Amino acid sequence: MLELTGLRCGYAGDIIAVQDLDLTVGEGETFALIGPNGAGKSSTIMAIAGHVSVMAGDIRFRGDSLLGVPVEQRVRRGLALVPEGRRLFPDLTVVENLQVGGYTIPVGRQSALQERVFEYFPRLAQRRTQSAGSLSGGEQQMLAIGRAIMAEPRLLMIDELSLGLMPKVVDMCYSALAQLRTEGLTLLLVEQNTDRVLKFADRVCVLESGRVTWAGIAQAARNDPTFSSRYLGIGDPAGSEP
Amino acid sequence: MLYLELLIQGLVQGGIYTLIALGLTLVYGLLRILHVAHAALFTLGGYLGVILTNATGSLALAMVVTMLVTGMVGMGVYRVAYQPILDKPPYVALIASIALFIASEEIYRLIFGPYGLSYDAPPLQGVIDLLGSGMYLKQAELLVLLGTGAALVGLHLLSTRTRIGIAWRATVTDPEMAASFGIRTQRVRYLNFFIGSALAAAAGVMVALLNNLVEPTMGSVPSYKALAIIVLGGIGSIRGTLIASLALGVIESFGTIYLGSLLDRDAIAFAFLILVLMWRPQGLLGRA
Repeated sequence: MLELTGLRCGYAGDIIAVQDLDLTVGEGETFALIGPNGAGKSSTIMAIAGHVSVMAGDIRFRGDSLLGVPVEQRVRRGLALVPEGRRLFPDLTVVENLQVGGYTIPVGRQSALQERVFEYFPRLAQRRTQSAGSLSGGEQQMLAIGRAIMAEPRLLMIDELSLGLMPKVVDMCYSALAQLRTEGLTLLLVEQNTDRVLKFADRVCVLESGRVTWAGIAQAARNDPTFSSRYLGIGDPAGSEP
Repeated sequence: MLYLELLIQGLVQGGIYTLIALGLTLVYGLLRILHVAHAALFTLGGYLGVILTNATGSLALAMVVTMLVTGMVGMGVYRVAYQPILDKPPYVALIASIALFIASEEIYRLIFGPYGLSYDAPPLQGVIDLLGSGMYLKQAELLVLLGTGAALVGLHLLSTRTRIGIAWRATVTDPEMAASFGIRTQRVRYLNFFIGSALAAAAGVMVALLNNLVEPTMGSVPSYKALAIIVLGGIGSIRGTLIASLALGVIESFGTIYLGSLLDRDAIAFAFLILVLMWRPQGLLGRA
């Protein structure tokens, strides 16, 4: 479904965020990118979404290269994004944010999709006409996921889902994702909450300083007691947390 | 009675300011550009309105065609003058805009002549007795009030009830995310310039009706007053623009009666601006 080959991407002024990244996400798979801050996880997602420029390599989605495809066309091909910090439209209401999410979907189908979002997140239904900026952090994350679902994506990319949220809200979001996954949605997750995502994902890739340091099946990482200390620099008995 | 008359005169002037300043606010909100050349489109509207009314005899037809044509010229201004330099710092666009505005006055002088134009038979010059109160309002002044109201209601409905309106507001807040959900932000910008320019053109036609005169430099005072208004209202805020426009119109109207021997109309307007900004540097509705 998604194939990155030799990807190098970054920002103006020759700042390289990711080097020679190869990864493949299969149809219906849940893939997690983990690693310390500044490892290039978000840049990878933003490059796929079209917001970070690709300097070398290729991004192929459902067989076609995304290079040179304008940002606004990528959602039409089946990509949706829940960015870090959610980036909702704070002055728009809950429903209006969902309408923007479903902008490429025929109007006739939008209300059914909206009802589905409200089934996943009933709290949003109660806040329909409230502005997004007035919601709590958890509700905002639900709305950000709902907004992306409205686009009926084939691949949903979520950056830092659990950052700054209460465990109960994180549970709600993950159970919605679990349900979406059973419906065949492919997921690409960037997550600091490693324990959580190792339990949820099928496969994992560890990034550090823009390079892959480990890639494999999530269960293998989960079963390896030294995984966290070796690849993520956490839980190290010597206490050498970076 | 005098107070009420002054108030209404002030609101008429404020309505004109609103129609001009709205376009400026919309452009600033979307692109963070101070679109000084906006007043050139106001002048163009005035000229087209007079020429088309004289040619066809119909003010209504002239108004519609003028708004459409000027709206399209506004889109052209965006395409030619601003779009190529959007990634440059904002002062680059500001300089381009000032240059365009100065050039436009000379272009109008060359095309339409230096002395200005008037309606052959000025329409809407009759007076209406307001509610039989003995207070009179020119039909053209009533048109300004109704036109301003219609523009505001129309903008409100467009931005809250339509798909493109919601896309527009989303683009103003976060163009990158708006594009992520498939909104063609380039189209939103064209729409923005079209609407803003068409409203300025309507103001131009109305000012021509009130003064029965259009001339190449008729945009110069409105250009800096509209800038003052959007700063006063809290830059980028439509509600702030409305309040500041009406307040400025009313202050000018009362000021010319009570302070007219000390300061002229424009001096009063800018004294008011300075006073308000000393009290609220972020503007009336701006966020601190």
